[in-house]
Amino acid sequence: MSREERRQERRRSEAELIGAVAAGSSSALTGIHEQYSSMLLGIATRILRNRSEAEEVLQEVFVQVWRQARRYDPDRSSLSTWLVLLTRSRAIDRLRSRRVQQRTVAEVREEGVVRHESQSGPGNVLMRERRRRLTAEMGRLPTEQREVLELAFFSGLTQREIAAQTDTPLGTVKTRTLLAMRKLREALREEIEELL
Amino acid sequence: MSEPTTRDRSDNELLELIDALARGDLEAASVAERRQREWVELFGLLGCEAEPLAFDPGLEERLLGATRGGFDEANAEDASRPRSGAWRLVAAVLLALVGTNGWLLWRAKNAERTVTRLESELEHARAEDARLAAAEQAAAEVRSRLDLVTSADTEYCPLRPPAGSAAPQARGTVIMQAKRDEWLLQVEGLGPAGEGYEYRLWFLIGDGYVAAAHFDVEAPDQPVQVHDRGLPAGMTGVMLTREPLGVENPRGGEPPLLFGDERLRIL
Repeated sequence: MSREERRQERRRSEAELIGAVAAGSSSALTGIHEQYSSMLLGIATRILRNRSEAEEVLQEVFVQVWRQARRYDPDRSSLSTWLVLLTRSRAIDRLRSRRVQQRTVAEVREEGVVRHESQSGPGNVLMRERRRRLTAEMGRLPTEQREVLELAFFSGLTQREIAAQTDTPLGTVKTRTLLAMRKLREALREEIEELL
Repeated sequence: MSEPTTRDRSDNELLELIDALARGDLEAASVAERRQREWVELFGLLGCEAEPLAFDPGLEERLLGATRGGFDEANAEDASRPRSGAWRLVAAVLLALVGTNGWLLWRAKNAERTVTRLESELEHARAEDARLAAAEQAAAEVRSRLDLVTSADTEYCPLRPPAGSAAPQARGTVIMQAKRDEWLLQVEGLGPAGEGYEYRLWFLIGDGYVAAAHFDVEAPDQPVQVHDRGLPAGMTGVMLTREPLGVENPRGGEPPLLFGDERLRIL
């Protein structure tokens, strides 16, 4: 299957899935859960450093998806990106509005970090491969470039805030951001093309 | 001052877009231009770096059950009745016009909400039974780890404390199965990381590294096992460090606690 065919197939399946959710299909919502929940829970947990808060955020996201599926516009973003941005936005809001206390050992255990395990079901093969590619490419970025992207995405910091937090000139932060984004865009061109 | 070049303008647009997305401004994603759409999708891909986490069946039931309950309550009003604000006005007018009958109608609506809430609570109670399924899942995990350790293609990377390590008594092994894209970390000899700190496992790739896991230890010499999927291509080594909470990159300045760069096969 060519890249264009894969992209069309993805857009069709996403349109069908989200359309079914908008029509009130709980099985379609379950389908979204099966495919994306592990990734979204991972993102929320990474941002909030607290599994129970992350689960609350995810519930809010799924309620929003359930109620506002009609508002999803495939021309604005792919379904996965829409879900990621919703989850991230809610997690960042919670991060800003609540102080994230230092974790006790008990909280770390509650998160299951010591016995951490992630699973990939049949519907998550694409997610797993995508993560593998992203992880590898992020690993190839210089530390300072990866840091600015992670602070922007997982901590919700603007360029100016990153500069203040890292005690780095704003121009340097901007340069690192641009270099990092351009490198990733080149390296992940295929993945991005399939999401357009 | 010279006019900004086309590249300067596009750089500024990209930085403004990233700042807007960083702040959580979802409307920033509402762009028709294909070129900016690429950056939005790339920004969304950054989330893939986070480790995906498994749902236990009980949580899934509660999540989907509560979500459907919320939809049924809200959507039934949206789909079949006037908008909620207008409905309240209509209800108020009816109450005023029909008097006692209106009061009875209101009581019936209240009872309907109570039934919906009780049904939701019943679903939660049923979800508790799903914890038994979680125990079965844990047993399956143990079997999976046994398969990993005994597979013919499994490789082992011994972890040893380098000179100057703050944990000279610690030892570890990373067991890897490239075909299954799976790994298992075993560590002994560590104590609790200390308040405000945690242990982080890193996979080295060339001159860089990627975070693989983070954990803490409850008691001195408590054995640790971490099991996950995702072996990066071109991995050259493994290291374990102690980092402040919330740090995304090693601080440096002191040797890792454990390090290994061998890949050995026993079977």
